[in-house]
Order: sequence, then structure tokens, then C-alpha cells
Amino acid sequence: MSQTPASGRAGERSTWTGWLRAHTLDAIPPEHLLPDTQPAYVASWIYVFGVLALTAFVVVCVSGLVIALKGPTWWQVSSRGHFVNSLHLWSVELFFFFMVVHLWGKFFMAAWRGRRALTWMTGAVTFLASIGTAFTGYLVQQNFDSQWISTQAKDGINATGIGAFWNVLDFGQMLLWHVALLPLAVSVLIVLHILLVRTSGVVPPIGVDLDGRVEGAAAKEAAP
Amino acid sequence: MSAGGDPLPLLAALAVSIEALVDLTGPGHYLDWRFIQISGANFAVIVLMLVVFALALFLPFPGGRKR
Repeated sequence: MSQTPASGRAGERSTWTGWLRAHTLDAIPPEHLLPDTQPAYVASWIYVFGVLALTAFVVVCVSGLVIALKGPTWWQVSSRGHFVNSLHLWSVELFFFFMVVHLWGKFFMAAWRGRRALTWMTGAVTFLASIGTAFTGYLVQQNFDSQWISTQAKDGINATGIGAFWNVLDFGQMLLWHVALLPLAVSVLIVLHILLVRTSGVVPPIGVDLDGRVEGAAAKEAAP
Repeated sequence: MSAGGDPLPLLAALAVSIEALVDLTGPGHYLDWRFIQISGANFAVIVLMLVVFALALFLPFPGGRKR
């Protein structure tokens, strides 16, 4: 069977793989997915915190994978286990630190402008899912701290009325939520969030156009 | 710790925050203003986030003016 070169998008849509490829390329062109340049207004420290949060999240995942592989005896007793366990905790602290500053920056920038509502919403849901992931992490430390926190959290969760579905005293359930379901949800949401940022572009500051100039300045310059 | 009657509650809060940053092995220190109760460590993190946010707005970005 010979390979035929792609000669246009129309022919590609006769198969589901071709249809998916064409739609993906239409929705997210490679030049948008991995751009060489960014608008001038992105040259500000306030635009750095999203990628800092992403970097911290990578460290969270890698350190979490290591402590999951080695087990609780290792992370509770050995010095290397203590180190990686601490790395997991402090990368989570940094993840939330950077994510909150990112959230403040985008809130005061009204980052949902310019058909970016879905980008804002995925970011907000990621924040909520991350809180759930972090809280279940407190419950699976396998020490007295996690026992204390789980009994306190049980009363709080029962007061909300969802204690029947979310049993914080069920270690197996909380462990699976912490190491499988919630990290998967956060990862998918982050990928979606980044893809939306790439397709819509980075939001400009209020009162600045896409070229980094004050809105209306070009019209004033052009006026006789 | 109760900072309600302290003439300089912010300074007291700052002192507790720094102490919390340095000594992480002892029991937690808490700040208490009427209905607000927060640990010194959490208060320090929130203050630090506000400082970093303000710095991010006002500090020049390297190479930013060349663009």
C-alpha cells in the first residue's frame, strides 16, 4: 500500500482519523500551539506566574510518583524519603502560591474578555480541583497528623451533607482520589486550559490593543 | 496569641509570622482578631503573595523595553 501525500483538507475528511487531524489542525494550528513570539505586553512579570504554577505542578507529579513507588515506610523513615516527601509538600505550596498570584493577575485583568470565558472557567475549576487534591493529600500521609485532620474533616464534610458520598475516613477511597482521580482531572484541565490560552492568545491588559499600544492611539495617529 | 489589645497588631502579627517561618518544629502560632483566626504561617504566606503580586506589577521585565 502506497502512501499518498496530503493534497488538501477535503480529502482528509473521508476517514475518522483524517477528519480528526483536519479538525485538530483547524482548531489549534501548530503556529498557535508553539508560537515563536508573544505580543509586547507579555513582557511583564505578572504574565510569568501561569508557567511557574505549571512548573511547580510538574515537580508535584514527579515527586508524587516517586513516593507512590517507594511507599509509606520509605517516606516516613528514611532520610531520602523525608526529602522527597518534603519536596512534594513544598512544590504543592509553590503551586498554590503561583496559582493564586496568577489568579489575582488575571482577575484584575478581566482575563475572560475577548471570548476567553472558557479559559477563565477551566482555570477556576482547576483551582477547585487542586484544592480537593491537596486536601486528600493531607488524609493519606499515614501519620497521626492525617488521622487528626480526617476526623476534623469528617465533621466538616458531614455538615455540608455530602458525607455519604465523600467519606474522608475511608483511607482507600481518599488514596485513590489523591493519586489517581483528582491528579488526572487536574492534568486534563491544565492541558485544556493551556490549549485554550494558545488558541485565544494571551489576554492583553485592559486598555491595550493586541500590538501593545493604548487603544485608540492608532486612530489618533492616523487622524489628520 | 491574641493581638486584639495590642497597640501595634500588625507588628505583632509580623513577628509571629517570622517566628513561624523560622521555627517549624514547635506547635503552631495563631493570630486572633475578633472572628478572624489564622495561623502565623498562613498569614506570612498571604502577605508574601501580596508582596510578590505588587512586585510583579511594578518591577521592569528584563528586555521588555526592546520589544
